[in-house]
Amino acid sequence: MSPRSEPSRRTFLAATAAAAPLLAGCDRILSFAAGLLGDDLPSSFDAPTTEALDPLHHLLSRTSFGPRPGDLDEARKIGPRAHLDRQLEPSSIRDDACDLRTSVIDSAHLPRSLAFELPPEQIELELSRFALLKATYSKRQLFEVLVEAWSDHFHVAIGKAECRHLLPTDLREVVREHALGSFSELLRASALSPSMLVYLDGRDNRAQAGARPNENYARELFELHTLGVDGGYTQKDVMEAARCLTGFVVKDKWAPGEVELVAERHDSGEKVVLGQVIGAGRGREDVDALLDIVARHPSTARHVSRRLCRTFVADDPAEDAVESAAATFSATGGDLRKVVRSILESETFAASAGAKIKRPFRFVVSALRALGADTHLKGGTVASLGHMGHAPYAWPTPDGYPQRGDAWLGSLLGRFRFAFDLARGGGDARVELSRLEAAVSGADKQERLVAHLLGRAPDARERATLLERPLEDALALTLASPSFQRF
Amino acid sequence: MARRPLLISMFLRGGADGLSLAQPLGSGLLKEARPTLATPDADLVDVGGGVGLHPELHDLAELMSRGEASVCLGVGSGDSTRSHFEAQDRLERASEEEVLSSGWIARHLMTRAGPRPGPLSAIAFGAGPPEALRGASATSVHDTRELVPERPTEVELDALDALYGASEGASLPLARELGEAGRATVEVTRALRALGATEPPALARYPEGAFGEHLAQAAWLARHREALGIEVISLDQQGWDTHFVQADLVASNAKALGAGLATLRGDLDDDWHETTVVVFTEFGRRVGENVSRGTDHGRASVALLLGGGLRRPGVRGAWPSLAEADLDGPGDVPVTTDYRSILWEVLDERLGNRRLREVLPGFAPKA
Repeated sequence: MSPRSEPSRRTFLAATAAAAPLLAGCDRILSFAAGLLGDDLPSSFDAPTTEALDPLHHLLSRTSFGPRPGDLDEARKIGPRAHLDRQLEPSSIRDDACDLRTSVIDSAHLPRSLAFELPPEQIELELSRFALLKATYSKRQLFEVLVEAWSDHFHVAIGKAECRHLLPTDLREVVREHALGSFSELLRASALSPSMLVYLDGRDNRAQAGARPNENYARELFELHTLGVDGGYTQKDVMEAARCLTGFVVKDKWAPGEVELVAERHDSGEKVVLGQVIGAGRGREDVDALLDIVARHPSTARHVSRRLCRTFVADDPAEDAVESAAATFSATGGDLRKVVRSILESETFAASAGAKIKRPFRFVVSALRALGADTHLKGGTVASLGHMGHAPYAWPTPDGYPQRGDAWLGSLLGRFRFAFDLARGGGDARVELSRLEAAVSGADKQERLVAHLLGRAPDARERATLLERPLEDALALTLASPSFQRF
Repeated sequence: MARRPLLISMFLRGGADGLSLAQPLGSGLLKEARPTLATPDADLVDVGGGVGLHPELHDLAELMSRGEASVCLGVGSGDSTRSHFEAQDRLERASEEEVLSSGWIARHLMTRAGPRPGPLSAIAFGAGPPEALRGASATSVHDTRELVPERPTEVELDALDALYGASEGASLPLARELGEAGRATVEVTRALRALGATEPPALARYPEGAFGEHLAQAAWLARHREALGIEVISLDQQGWDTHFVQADLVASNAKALGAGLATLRGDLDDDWHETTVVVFTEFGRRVGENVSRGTDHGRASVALLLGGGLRRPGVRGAWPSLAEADLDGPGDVPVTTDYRSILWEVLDERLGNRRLREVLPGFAPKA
């Protein structure tokens, strides 16, 4: 973009954003404005020509929710290294079009106390729409991939008590605030977030003579969030950690959702966690001390690195890849930006093209992105994600949605249906196949668009099966094909 | 190979009045507490065990006499909030000692023996899967017509079959599993398309309204369950929150319930032996009627269990005396049967689940 166009674009954005509430019912105007702000399809773009997966397509597939038309050209122009540098500094990337599309989602912007006023069904729907819109339209794609990863790692289920009302703000203040920052700050934000205190019963964990503390959160803190189940902690450590965490309450009147430490509910005695003494009478500092101990533990470096390797490399990453990422984690004090970079620049990463199975959320978003779809998610997409078993934040247990591909093989029926609905414009997303056809470079347009979806030229069987039929059907079948379920 | 068992789970939303559905015979205390609502003994259908079913439940009484249904008295959970939401969640998640947010049917599907659940293992009627299915991948429909896809067409299914067949040989992780899943999904889609061409659900023979329509469609799906891989069908009957002039509401609900169940049983004739129908509600209602001839939220209610070859048909348990001293809180029937004992029996004897402790953690049936 030329610098000269900046002021007018900014003015335009400001004016449009101010008018956003008025535009809420005018989706076509929103789409049009988002197009002007950078959402529109490019007038021409290249698709991969190699028979093996294009390495740049591989990088884009893992650092984003799948390439949109033109993404490959842009990355090719600046090179993979610069692409990664850029994605690792999300605040340097303007995101006006996506900001505009998400400006109509009330709960994503309201303070916590006001979000409490919204009906539960609206909150649930908006949480899904917001997650999908960000993943589909944000230009800070690597950031969004990490937002999804941390939402699973520090999972809070929408179905428990008032969690759904606390989540919109907590997602902003926890995972969106720290997704590419420091792990210990991410952990701290999660530990004392009202939704986590509600979800894992932290608010009911209090010191009481003759009664044991509520260990629910403390156990998951060790098992899921930090050291991992074989990370070398004992039942005694869990109980001691639970004592450190006693006394926090989540207010429900006057300032709903605010977190407070009630001194008389806090266990002020001395605690010993993982062999380290936390002295008596330290009050709120108990939590700081506890989180420092677990965040710095070598098992945590490995456990968190394993999740990131699963996210970016493979369901069963090689142990030396995990160790190498963990070494970066430990050496940098849990600097997530550096850990992610080290994984994405590793040889293991380069060799892992196509090794992972998309979960339904990624399948849906990657299809919307690949076809440059225009949607405000007001129709069936959110529901069909539910049918595929992957409604955002709905997983019932604290371990978050499964990362491994085999857990998702039962969702193909919904995927087939979504593929055909999307390609023929039958759902809540608008696609312009004729524009895509005109824009893709090369002589055999249909074959080129299939290559754009697959990240490589179609093989002989795919040519025989996918081509020679109306474009809409060829693309629907490609989206439903086994290769598009991989990334 | 033995045919897979089918579970049909029904929930009476709102808190069904167990005392009206299965009224203690000859209870002066009930008539005192419910001067306008108690049904005269002469109108009740005596099914033994000291209770008479609501006159509109005569079809259910008939099923009981044939040994194909049982009515369990005094059923409830440990939830004493008397909140619809809390009580429904508690029952459907079926965890008392520890807070689980997955549902009992979902846990059953994850722990039962056999191949992993398929795309249509669980079907729920309504806007979304109920809490009992939370944690499983369940398909929810308002109308079975939504299930029959226009696309992919037969030709397109052939193409997908070929693509997934080829993918089985690839060297990538999960290549074989993805290929198998794809071909299985092609097969289910074919079955669904074939279903679209068969005789539609017999709506006319079922009660009017959403409950009857869903029942008719459930029966239709159940008949085709082998081809579709259906193991669980979930549906609700709404309208049991009878705070106000309840006699007519209870009568019309009971009529739809009894007639609906009897028609379902007739339609499932060949499959009835493998079928289990469980009917729960979140709580019963207060013994004493309120000022507007309704009843308020109480504790224990009834549960129904139906199926061919039931081991213990008939009336189970007994209502307590209804004397004030024997009641719970503000005058409610105390829970004498833990709902999980019924789930345990269903899982163990009817569904053949061998990992019961994972489905119902913290529960042990009385020997």
